[in-house]
Amino acid sequence: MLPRRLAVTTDDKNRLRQYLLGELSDADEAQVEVRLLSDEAYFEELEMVESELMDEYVQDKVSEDERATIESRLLRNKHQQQKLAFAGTLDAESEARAAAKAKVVPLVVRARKAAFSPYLKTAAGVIVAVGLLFGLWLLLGRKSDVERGMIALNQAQGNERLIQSRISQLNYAEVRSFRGNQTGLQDSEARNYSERLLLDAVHQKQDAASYHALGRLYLAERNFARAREQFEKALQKDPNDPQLQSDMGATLLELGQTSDDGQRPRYLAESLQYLDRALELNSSLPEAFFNRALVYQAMPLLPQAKEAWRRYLQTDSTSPWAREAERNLKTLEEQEQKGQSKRADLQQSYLAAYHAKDREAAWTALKQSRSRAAVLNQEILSYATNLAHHDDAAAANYSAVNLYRILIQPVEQYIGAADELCIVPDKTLSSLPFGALRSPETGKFLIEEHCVIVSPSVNVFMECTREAVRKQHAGSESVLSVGNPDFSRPSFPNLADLPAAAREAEQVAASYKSQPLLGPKANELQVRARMSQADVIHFAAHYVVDPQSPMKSALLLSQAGSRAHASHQDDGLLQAYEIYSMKLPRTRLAVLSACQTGLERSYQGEGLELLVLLFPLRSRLWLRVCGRSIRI
Amino acid sequence: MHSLTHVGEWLGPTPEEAAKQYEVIRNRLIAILLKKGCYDPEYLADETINRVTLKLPEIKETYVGNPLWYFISVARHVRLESLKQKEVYYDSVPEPVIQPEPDFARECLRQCLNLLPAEERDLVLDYHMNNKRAKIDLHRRMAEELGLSTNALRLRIHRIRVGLERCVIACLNGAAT
Repeated sequence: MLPRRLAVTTDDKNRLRQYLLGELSDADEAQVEVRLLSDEAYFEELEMVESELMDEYVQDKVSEDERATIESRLLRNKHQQQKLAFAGTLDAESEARAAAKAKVVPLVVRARKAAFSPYLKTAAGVIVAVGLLFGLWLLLGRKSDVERGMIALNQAQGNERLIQSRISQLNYAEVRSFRGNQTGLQDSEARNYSERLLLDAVHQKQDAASYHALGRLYLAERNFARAREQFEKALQKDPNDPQLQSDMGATLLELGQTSDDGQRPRYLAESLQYLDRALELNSSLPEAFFNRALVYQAMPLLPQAKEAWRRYLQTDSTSPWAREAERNLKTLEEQEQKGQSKRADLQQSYLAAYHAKDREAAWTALKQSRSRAAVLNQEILSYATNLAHHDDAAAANYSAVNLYRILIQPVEQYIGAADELCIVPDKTLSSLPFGALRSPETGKFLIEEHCVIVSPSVNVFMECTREAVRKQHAGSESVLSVGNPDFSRPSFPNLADLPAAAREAEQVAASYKSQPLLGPKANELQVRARMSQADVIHFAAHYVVDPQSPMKSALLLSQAGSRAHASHQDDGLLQAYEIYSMKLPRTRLAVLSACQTGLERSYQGEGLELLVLLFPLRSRLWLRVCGRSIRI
Repeated sequence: MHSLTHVGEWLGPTPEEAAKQYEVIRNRLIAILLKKGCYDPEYLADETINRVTLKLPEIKETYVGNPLWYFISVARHVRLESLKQKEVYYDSVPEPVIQPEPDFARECLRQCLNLLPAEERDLVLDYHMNNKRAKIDLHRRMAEELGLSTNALRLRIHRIRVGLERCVIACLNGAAT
């Protein structure tokens, strides 16, 4: 019994007015209220009648009795009083507008009759304003609203910018150092004018250029959420604009810089994706180079940051931006010298304390480097980014060894050579591909020395193991291996092809002497049909999380039929709720190899973990490595 | 969530509808109680739903008719109880109507008007111009120019106004914090 919309009559309107004024009997009142709970149009009519009643109250057009009733019923709480304040203000503004309109026509006549008419000042003001506007029009020429809006935005910024990042089509300005709660662009009049122009452009055109320009305004004044919203709309219209990709990257960088809710690594990683895409589209875009260096600096991946600044200076060595890049590079070099030795000392102190079973000393060592979580988070993010970008094998290897030392080495003595290792990671550790950590002693990856299982909880592990034993049967296993499906590019323009995933699927299928489902053949109908017959299921594909409705998060597949007339069983999205409703009586093992899982989001345990829980596996789950497939 | 799901299921056939129905009922109850002068409508709405939930096992199988009547009936009882409890403290000394500084409220309104497209801005201001007889003619003229009925225009204006109202109230509250 969801709300419906039924027709509202004049009688209904009158009755609602009586209801608000308390003039109905109890029975009639109850009848009105029941209808209000279920009839959307009726409820909206109530809101309209209430607004009109408030207007009449403000304009003093109600009787004394009605006034008393309104004050005792409708205006007893703050929310209603604020609505009244709004009604009064709107009335005043409308009156002023009406008065201004009424004065325009008789202005000329009265000026002739009385030289000292009080309207002369208004007349002069109007003429001056018109003159100024004409002058501005001449100045701006026949430019579009977007162009004029950007000119005004540059004027509004002046010689101080509020963010570190570089925004396309904005002139250079020194970064303002914040004092107290100083906010806002330098020239607020120009800022308001710019916004008005850009809002009009958006409402008239709704194209990429107008959304992009409006997003630049919000980004420049540190309104990151609104900037992101506008950039997302622009990207839907034009995903191949490199400046737009760079500005989106800048927004996410700034969000990462200001985030205090643990989302910083995610924002920075996403920023990098957009900036990389910008450079794919335009390999010499200075804004993207500049912002990318800032991202590396924020992560902090110091070697990458230094290299990025040097790369920027190769393309621009003379502008004010270049001078800023030089200062950043110099600062990093100085910091690195100071920081290197301190970090090594802290790690040694921690390990020594741990081996000596001196907990106090171990925690003290960790606390000294800001916080335990921050150290681990940085190291994990650094490792995951290097894996995803294949930028620096040496840096990735360093992180792999470092993380092994922090996480595995302290408990090595408890792990037998033939033991299977079950890891139950918490928070950021969920992003870490444990199998790819590397022993400093042997140089081997963890997965080469032990069977590694990752489970969201101990209970899930126990339950899966029990079910796996129950499902054991004689005979060879069958596998379903899915790799690099032909997902809908228009729907997901920022997701890349996964050739490595296809190779991975081929290799897995070959081990079972089976045929993988690749590319267009990896469609939802085929996958669904084969899932119920498989002992082992392997997915190497993109997985997209829906933060609002985790059950709608989906593995991206191809479509067998036409995209225009797809049913939900062949829409190219194998969603979590669909997996939940499937019967998989044979499946004992599922391997989920979704792209960039090292940087995957965890939404209160309902990101990729939800997919894990929903696979009715009752079996072991070997969980994920990076989608570009580590060759180890 | 378990018991709330039961409440929703009493009124809607699927879990998705149950969640939506819960939200709708709660929000509408709050609005109704606000307009009847209740000081704490959220608390009273939640109390109503709690009582319905507790009673549900007893009545669900045998209840005949529209379940919304039961909600309204409980809500009316809850409200009356609250009036009796607070009678001594509140009803004898009504709260004064507190209005913000007019200049500040005008400034908030202007900022919010600037966020509207020019056409909607003009529409909502022209619609609310004062004079009674001229107003009726004006509304008819505005509706004709837009190709709408006067009712449709009234609804369109209301929807613009709701957004504007939220913006202004947010502005007033923002300054207060």
